Amino acid sequence: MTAYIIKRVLAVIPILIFVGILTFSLVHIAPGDAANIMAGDYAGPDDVKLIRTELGLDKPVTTQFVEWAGRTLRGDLGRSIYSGKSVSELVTARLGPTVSLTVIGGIVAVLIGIPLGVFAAWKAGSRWDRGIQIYAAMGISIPGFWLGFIMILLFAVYLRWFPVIGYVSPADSFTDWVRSITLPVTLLAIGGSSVIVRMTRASILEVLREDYIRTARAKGLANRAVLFRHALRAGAIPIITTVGALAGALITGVVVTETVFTIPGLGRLVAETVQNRDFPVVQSMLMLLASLYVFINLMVDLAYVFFDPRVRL
Amino acid sequence: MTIPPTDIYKDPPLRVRVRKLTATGWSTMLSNPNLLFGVVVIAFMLLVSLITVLPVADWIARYDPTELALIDQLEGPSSEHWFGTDNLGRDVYSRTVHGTKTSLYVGAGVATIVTIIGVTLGVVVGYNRVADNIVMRVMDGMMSFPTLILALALVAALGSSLTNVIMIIAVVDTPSMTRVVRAVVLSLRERTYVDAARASGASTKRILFFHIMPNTLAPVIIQASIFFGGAILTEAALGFLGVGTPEFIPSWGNIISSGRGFIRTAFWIAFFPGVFLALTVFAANLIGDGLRDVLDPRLRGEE
Repeated sequence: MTAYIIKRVLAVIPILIFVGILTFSLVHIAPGDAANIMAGDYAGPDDVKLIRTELGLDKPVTTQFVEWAGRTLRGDLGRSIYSGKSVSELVTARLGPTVSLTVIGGIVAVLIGIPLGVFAAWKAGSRWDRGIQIYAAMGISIPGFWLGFIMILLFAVYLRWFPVIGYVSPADSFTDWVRSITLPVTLLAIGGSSVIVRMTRASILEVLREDYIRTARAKGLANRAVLFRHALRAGAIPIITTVGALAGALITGVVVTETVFTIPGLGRLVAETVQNRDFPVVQSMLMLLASLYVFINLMVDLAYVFFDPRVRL
Repeated sequence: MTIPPTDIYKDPPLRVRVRKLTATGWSTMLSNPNLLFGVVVIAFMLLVSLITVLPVADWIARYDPTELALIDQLEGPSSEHWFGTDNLGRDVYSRTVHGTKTSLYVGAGVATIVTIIGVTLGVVVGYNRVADNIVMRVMDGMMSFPTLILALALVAALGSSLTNVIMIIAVVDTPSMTRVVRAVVLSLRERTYVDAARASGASTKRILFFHIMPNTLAPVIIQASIFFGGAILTEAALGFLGVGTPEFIPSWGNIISSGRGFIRTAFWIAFFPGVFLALTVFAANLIGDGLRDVLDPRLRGEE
């Protein structure tokens, strides 16, 4: 078991190196001169030159990579060429809203998604199952930005239950905070729970087909006991994997959600910096989010070990 | 001396097989309402985009999607402008109808590229240890990025032409197609019929192309239809975030994006293209799910 854990943790290193190389290459795969692109259409040759020296783009590529990797490892994430602020400054300033949205949205998604998925599998082929499947199919098909738009139109513009845009910190006013995150959290939870429903339903269906479930039924065990004592216990393992998928859905969802609701969080930061082609920030955000994603998937794999003895072998 | 290949089992002629397959196709489609709905919607969208690329576009599109009419800006839906007009007075209905071909083009382009690259890579790495180690490490690396974030970063670097958008979404989707194909190949190569083929003297190439590749068809078709819908959704998301298909090519994503600032005054700009978008992606996913039910009965949920 220890050997497996060590192996799995070490496997992260080459992945992170690859992530680093790809992130670094971003500036260099840009057609033409990256400094030119970043400077924008109205910059003079001096501005371009300034950006080039600022970012070290005049040095050889290998030197640049070594310097960039060294800085990144030391936690120096660079500086926005747009606002001049350091990336760590930008990230800390915008962390609050994103953490509120993703943590609450994720919890709500799990609380809705897993019971619905289990129920759909249990009643497979029934009207309930079909209804839940349609909900999940719609949840992954209907674009979040459009659904968010409809939610704002209905609940904020016409019914005036919630503010149209913006975010209020819980430190300022708790009730206003709740009001400002209700719609975005709902939007994230719909997308996230749809992913979970599909995965949970599939894995519970798989378990219900196992021989020991048939045995339990043949013994005359009540339906409910078969579900809770046998199926759910075995099904819990694949359900953990949904957390990895949920993390992906939330990271993607938060970029769109924060843009729709104009919430000044990390997702909005990503969208804005991509629009401005603010490469140092884009690179750092890519690196941070990919590392987070890798870390969550590592945790999911390690959780597996504790729940499923077969993996330890 | 060469041994002439012997055909122990002769397949029925292609014509008969195709006819049989088409018949099964129709009957399964009619028996699966979700699949039928998906196919009808996509067929309708295909028809719409076909008409808009022909010189008869005005039959259904009514106006030039890029024609400015500043006098008519931000008008609500009416008999003249079914979906209203946007802030530049352009007819939202015509833009939406013309946006159909952009979206379908992106979906079909991405699905085709991903299928070609994914199947080729998947078959090769499923059969070659060395290639497997190299290619799959790169794929693992690419899959460690959340997809939309990777697409956004690539758009920031490469710029957002329609071709770039298609290429970028295809690159982002390729690893999962490769994984699916690889998994199928790995399980197929252990089958007895592959041993039998090898024992009868078939070359590796022959085994790969005639014995293994045809059997990856079902999962590949399912994946391709999911990527078709996914690509349309991603293109629209990029457009909505302001970095997708450039504004002079109407796409559902950039029309919705242009309506974002007018939620109070002109909701119709973003509303109607969104209906088309949601319907199309939903239909593509229904086709994917429906095909999986038909082709992979283990997941159907019935005994």
